[in-house]
Amino acid sequence: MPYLNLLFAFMASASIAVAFRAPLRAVPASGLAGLLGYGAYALSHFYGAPQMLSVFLGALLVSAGGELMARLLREPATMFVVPGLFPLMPGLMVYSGMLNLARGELSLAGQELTRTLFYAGALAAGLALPPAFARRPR
Amino acid sequence: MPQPAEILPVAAAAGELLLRCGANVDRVEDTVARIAQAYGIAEVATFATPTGLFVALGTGHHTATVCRVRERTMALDRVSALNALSRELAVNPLPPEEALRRIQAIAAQPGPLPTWTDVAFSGLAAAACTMLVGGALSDFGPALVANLFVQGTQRLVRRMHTPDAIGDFLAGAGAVLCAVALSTWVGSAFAPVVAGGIMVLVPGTAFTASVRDAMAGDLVSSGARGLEAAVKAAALASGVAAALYVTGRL
Repeated sequence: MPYLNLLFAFMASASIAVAFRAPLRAVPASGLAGLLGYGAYALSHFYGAPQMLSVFLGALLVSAGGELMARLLREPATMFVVPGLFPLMPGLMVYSGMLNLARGELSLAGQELTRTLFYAGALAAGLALPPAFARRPR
Repeated sequence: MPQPAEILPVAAAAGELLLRCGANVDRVEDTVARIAQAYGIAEVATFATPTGLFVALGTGHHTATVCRVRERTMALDRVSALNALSRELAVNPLPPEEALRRIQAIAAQPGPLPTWTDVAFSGLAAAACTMLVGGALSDFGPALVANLFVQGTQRLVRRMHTPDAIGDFLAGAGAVLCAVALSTWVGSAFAPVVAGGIMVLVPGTAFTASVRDAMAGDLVSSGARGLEAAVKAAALASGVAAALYVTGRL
């Protein structure tokens, strides 16, 4: 388990939060959401969970953490969830699928893009659960 | 008691600004409804899509408006400020003109940091992603340099008001060319450097939002977001493929 990656997950989430113009006081919390999510993903994957389950757990933690921080800091949960998900984004999979399309490797591209679809589905499912159980703040 | 016609501009302006700041449609519809209800208007119909917003208020929904949203840029500080304002209105409904002024002030407020810093921080995020996808520590510096260049290029192209796809194409090509140049000159790894840059450029957020909207039942928004993601990814992949072809790596 490469622990240093947790630091980089924090860094990626916090930096993208700044790039998305998050209020500066919310930035450390956004980074923390990224660390939590990526940590859950990497840890469960390391202990042999299939990728789809790992990403579901990662997104679940980002979303639950986001809801919690939203209450503590009185900010919308989006503030933490969008940057927090960043290290888990299926960007690389979409990209390599498209690249294989460009190369004419259609079956490989189909495989990768289908996997991306399910990956995003697992991500979105993990994301959708905590807000469904949490009462809206205000 | 304010009339629906007085409240409509306030609710619609808030919704439109949220959409321009990249908020999710369910949040936009929710906020518009909350603002209207804060002024005692119970009957609200809203329909938000990433490219536009419909709002109808009052008995029989006779007072209605349409807003078109052409550009969306993530601005979480404005989402936060609008959230605070809508919460404030629920407790203390300001006069509609005053509320509208506040919304316009939020639309004009400068970001927490100067605009150029978002290039720096996007580059930093991309370099961190390079580490996450398996780059060695020694690749961090080269990845940062490459991505500062890529992000800068993309912003410059966008500033010329060309379609987004052109900026994405050039950014994808730039990511590959930078990674090739750096791997030749300083011997950094090629694949992780490209991959980190790509992760920031690729529309993962749009793609995830699309699936999320589909699950929430916002089908129009889901389709629109999915298409947005597909077009962006295609433009990016074309740029990458073109650069790989030119450098003989395809």
